[in-house]
Amino acid sequence: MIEVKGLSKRFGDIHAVREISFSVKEGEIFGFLGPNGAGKTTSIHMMCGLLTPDSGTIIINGKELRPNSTALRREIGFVPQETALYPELSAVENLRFWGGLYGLKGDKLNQRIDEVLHLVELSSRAHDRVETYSGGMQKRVNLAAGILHNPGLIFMDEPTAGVDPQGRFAILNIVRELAASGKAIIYTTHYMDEAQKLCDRIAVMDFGEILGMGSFEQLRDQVGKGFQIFAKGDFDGPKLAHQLKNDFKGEILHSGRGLLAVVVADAAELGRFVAAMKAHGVNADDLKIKETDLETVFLKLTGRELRD
Amino acid sequence: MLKVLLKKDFRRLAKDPLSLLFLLALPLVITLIARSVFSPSAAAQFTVPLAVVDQDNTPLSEFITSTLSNEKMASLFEVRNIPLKEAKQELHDNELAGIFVIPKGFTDQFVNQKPAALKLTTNPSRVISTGILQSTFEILTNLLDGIRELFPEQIAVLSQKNTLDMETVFELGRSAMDKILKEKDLLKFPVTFEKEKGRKKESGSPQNGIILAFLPGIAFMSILFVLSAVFKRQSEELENGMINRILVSPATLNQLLSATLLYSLAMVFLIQIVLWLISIPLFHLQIFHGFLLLKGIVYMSLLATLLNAVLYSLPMKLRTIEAFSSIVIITVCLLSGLLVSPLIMPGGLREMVSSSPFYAPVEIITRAFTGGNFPLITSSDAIFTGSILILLFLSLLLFRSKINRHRAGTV
Repeated sequence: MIEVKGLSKRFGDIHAVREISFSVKEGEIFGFLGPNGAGKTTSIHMMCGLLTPDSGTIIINGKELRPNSTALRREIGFVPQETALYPELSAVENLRFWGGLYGLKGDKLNQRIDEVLHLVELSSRAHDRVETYSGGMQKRVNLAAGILHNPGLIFMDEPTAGVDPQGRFAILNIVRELAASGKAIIYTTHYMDEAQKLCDRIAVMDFGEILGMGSFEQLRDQVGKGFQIFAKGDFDGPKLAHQLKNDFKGEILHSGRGLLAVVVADAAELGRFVAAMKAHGVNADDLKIKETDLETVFLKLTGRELRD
Repeated sequence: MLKVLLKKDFRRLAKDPLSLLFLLALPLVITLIARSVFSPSAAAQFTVPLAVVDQDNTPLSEFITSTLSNEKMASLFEVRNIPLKEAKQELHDNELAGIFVIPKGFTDQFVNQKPAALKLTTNPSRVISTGILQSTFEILTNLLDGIRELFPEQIAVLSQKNTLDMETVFELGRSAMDKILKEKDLLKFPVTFEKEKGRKKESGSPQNGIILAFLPGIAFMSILFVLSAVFKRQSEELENGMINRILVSPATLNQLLSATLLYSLAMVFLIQIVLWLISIPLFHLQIFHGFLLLKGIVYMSLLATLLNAVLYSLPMKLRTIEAFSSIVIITVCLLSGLLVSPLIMPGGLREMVSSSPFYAPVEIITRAFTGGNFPLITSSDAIFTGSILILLFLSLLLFRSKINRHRAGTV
C-alpha cells in the first residue's frame, strides 16, 4: 500500500527525519512510537503530502507521491492530532464539507456520512453542534472526517491524545475495525500500551531515526522476556553497573547519575540482582520491577524513558 | 473546490449571525460615540452657503443683507452676493443651502404698513442647513415686524436716507425684540416670507449634513473589522491544524487563499450593502455619483485587505498580532479622518492625514454624496489601484509563505 524509502527532512540545523524506510500493506496497523520531537509528525506530514521531503521517495499504490499528486491524495485519509473540525457546525455539516473536498456529493455523500457516523456511534447526535460534544466524541468525529472518503491508507496522528480511557477504548476498536476491512493504517502514539496492543508492527523513533522496527514480540526479543528493573537513588549509575556486572546474569539497559536500568531473564536472577543492590546500599524502595514490555525496548533503544 | 470552501464559510456565518451583527454594530457605536465627543468642534467648522439677491436696492434692504454678512453671522453663513440666475444654478448643483431674495418694492410695502414678503428658497437636500436658515429668517422677519410695529416714524425717516445709521437700526431692533418677547400681541402686521424648495437633481441630491462626515468612516471601519475577523479566523485555522487537514485533501493552497479572498469580498460587499441600505433612507441621503461610492468602497476594501494581509503575515503568534492589529486599526481610523476630521487637526497633522492613502477613499465616498463636477476617474487612480494590487499580491505571497512555514514548523 505504501512504501517509504530513505525519507529525510531538515529544518535548518535540525535533522527532523533521517533516512527512514519501511512499507505497510493492506489491513496492517503500523505504529510510530516516540516522544514529542522524535520526528513522527514530520514523517506523517511528508507521507500525506503536506511537506516536501529533502530526499527519499513515497510510493502509494505503486505511484510516487509528489507535491502535485492531487489524485493520489484521494487515496489518503488523515486524522490529525488536533480536533480539526468547525465547532459551530454539526457533525453532519462538518462531514459534508470534508466529503465535498474529496468530490463526494449527493446520495453517495449522505450514505457515507450515515456509515461513518454509525461506525463512530454518533448517529444520534449527528445534527448537534460539535462544540456541544465531549472531548472523546469530538475525537470520534475527527476520525470520521478522515475516513469519510473511504481511503485505502489512513494516517492517524495521536488520535487518542487527551481522551479518557472509555473514549480511547472506543477509538481503538474503530481502528481495529478499519484495519479488518483492509485499510492500511499508520498510527502515531506515545502511549506504549496502545502501540503494544493495537499495532501489528511498530517503529520506535527518536531524533528522527527509526531505532527499531517489527512486531511487539520481535522488538521484545531484542531485550528478552523477563523483568525490567529500574533503580533510582543517590549513587553513581555507571560505577554501580560496573560493580554489579559479575553479581547477576542480565543486561544493563541504561545507567546514569542516580539511575540504573537492567533486564533479567527470570525470578532467580531478579532475586540475585536485588540482593546485590542491597549489598551496595541501595534500598528496595528505590526499585521498580515489571515484566519486560515495549517501554523496556524503548529504554534499550533510546536510552531514555518515554515521558510524554 | 472553491464552491465547497465558500459554502462552508457561509454556513459557518449563518450559524453565527451574532458575530456578523456585532461586526456591523461595533463600528457604528464607536463612531457615534467619537462623533458625539468631537461634534462641538466639528460644528464650529460648519457654515451655511447662502446667496443673497437684493432686487430692492434700498437702505433697508442693504441693512438686511449687511446683517447677514456681519462678523457675528460670518461664522454661520457664507454669504454670496450673486445674480438670481447664477444662484439658482448653484442651488441646483447643491453648492448653496439657500437663496434669500429681497424683492423689488419690499421697502415700500414695509414702510407703508402693507404685507411685505421676503423670499427664501431652500435646498431640501441640506436638511440641517435648511433648518438653520428657516430659524434665522423667522427671527429676522420677527425683528423687522417688531421694528415696523413699534417705530413707524423712525423707519419712514431711515428708509428715505441714503445711508443707514447702523447703530441706530440695531438699537431699534434690540428694543423691538425685547418688546416682542414680552408682548406677543404686538405682531399685528407680520412680515411674511416665502419658502420655496430647491429643485432636486434628477440623479438625486445629497443631504450634506454632519452625518456624511462620519458615514464613510463607519464604512471603512466596518470593512477593517470584517476583514480583520476573516484573516483572524484563517490564522486560527492555521494554528489549530484545520488548514493542514484541508491541504491533505485535493484542495490546494491557492484554492484555499482564493476562497478566503472571495469570502472577504462577499462579506465586504454584504456589509456595505446593508450599511448603505440602512443609512441612505435613515439619514435621507441621496447619491450624486454612485460610481464614486462604489469606487470608494473598492479602495477601502483593497486597503483593508492589504493591511490585514500584511498584519496576519507577520511572524508572530495570533494573540500578538491581534493586539498589534488593534493599534494599527485605531491609527488607520485616525489617518482616514474617521475619529477626528482633518479640518480640525493641527496644521502638520492635517496635511499628513489629508495626504494619507487611507483618507483618499473616505474623501471619494464623501464626494459621492456631494454635488459638483468631480472627475469620476483620475490619472492617480491607476497608480493608486496598481500600487495597492501589487502590494496586496506581495502580502498574499507573504501570508502564503507563513502557511508554508507553519506547515514546516510543526515538527
